[in-house]
Amino acid sequence: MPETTPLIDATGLCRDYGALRAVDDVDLRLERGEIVGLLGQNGAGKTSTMDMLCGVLAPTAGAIAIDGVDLLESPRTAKRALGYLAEHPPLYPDMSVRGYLAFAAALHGVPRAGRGDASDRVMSLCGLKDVAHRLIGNLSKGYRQRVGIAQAIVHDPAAIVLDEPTVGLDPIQIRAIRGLIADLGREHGIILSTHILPEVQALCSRVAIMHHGRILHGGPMSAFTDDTAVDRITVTLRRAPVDSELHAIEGITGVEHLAPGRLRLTLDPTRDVPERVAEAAVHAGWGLLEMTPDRASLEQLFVELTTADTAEASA
Amino acid sequence: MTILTIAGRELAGLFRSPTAWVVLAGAQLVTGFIFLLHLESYLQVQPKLIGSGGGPGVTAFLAPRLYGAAAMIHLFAIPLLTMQLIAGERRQGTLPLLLGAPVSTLEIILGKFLGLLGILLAMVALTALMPLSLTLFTDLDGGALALAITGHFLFVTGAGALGLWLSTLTREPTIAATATLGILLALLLLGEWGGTLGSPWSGLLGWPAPATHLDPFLTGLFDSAAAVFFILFAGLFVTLAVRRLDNDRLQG
Repeated sequence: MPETTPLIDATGLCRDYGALRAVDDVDLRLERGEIVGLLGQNGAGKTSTMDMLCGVLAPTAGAIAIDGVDLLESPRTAKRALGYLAEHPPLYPDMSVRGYLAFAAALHGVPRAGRGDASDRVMSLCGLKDVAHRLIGNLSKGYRQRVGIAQAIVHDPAAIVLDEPTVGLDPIQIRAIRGLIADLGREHGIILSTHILPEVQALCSRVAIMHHGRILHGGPMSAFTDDTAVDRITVTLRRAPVDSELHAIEGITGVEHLAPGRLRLTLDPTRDVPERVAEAAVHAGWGLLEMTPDRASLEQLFVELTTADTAEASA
Repeated sequence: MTILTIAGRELAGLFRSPTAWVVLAGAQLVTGFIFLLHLESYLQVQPKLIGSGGGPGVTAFLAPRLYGAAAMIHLFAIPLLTMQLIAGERRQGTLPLLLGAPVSTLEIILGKFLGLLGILLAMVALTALMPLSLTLFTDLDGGALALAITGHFLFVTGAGALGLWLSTLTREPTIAATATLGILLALLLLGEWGGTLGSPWSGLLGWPAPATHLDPFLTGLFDSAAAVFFILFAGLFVTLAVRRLDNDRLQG
């Protein structure tokens, strides 16, 4: 199988602000048809990372290739394949939506003859046809955000980078924008930064969790939705046995007491341990009240990764 | 190509804002008033000049006075036109659009500068309309007038480049405007002060001031050194502006 060139391939990205290392040795890849969620608290280094991917900020160290073209060596060619929506949409309030999009198209090298069509195409894609001739300064926040997204895709780039595209929008607008992003993600590759966990769950095929400038976890979202690999269960028992009785069940590797009668069991996911626990509970009369699988959730992982580090730092 | 795109947006943006109109109108009003005052005084001394057989013609009398005054007035007007150039982009958060586009920082700055030149050209043309209106009634020394207009254009170009550079240094347009005016006035006053000290100070302290190099153009002499000064002056600050914007990318 021929290896395809990733749309964005960043390796060893670092960024210093004076003595502060805001981004530390970040590797990031984006393939076609993929939506990658860049997740992190405020100040984790997401915006700096995205600014570097789009050539707005020069990396202190590291390399970035856009569709196989080195961004630092030939920025002009590389940037043509990129669309960027910065954290604050870069809008000129004194321009009309259509005029602004035509300007953005011109900046990105769309030939004069194609600019009108390009603007019309993204306006219908982003639901902006009704406001085409209005001044951007008079638009609501939701519309402005959509103009921002339209600006990022007007030159039909292969890779799209969106920095917190739904921040500050109402739930209906968020749904609309997410729908738009999901549609775009089928044909393009998208990197999306956010600190909203459900957004990543709803949209992304892969997630990278950033904290203090490092990527602490990177992997497919399917790990969080897969039902087969349950490696922990929580059970509530009316008459909890001593731990040794539980350890006697084949496949249980750990027992943790959460509350009286409430236990978290760590298991070997390859064996049918939950079934055996249920059998044992019935036979020994433990009074099984509840048994739930602890699926590794994104939130759990996020909290674990980002707080463990904070606790370490404060210790 | 992209330079023209950026220049076009800049010029359109300037004319969409009330600032440019108010500045142009205000400068025109004051310059026009001064022009009328000098015209009036010329008409008063003209009979004596004719009686004494010779003396300066209308162009030689009016050009230095009008353009000397216009340069002073435009010293105050130009910072208001340049302050938004980059500082405004920073403030609006639109700079990432330009920096993220396949455009070099040189092209961004040249586009901005070209857009600015558009409005400065309008200012020069509006000023030139005043002496040109006299052609309805009398003959002017066309060469001397053309030279004065050229000098005026070079002067505003230099001052505009300085304003452009200062606009790249901050995100507050008012700071950019104040700094531009401050530096232009300081250079002017330094030259005036040097003048009172006599040689060699008058030459030394007067040299960096754009106003010093405007004078030869107004007296009907083409001084190539003065023209080169303005080109270097503008080139220096355009280069500094490019470097500053490059630094943005490096230092964030």
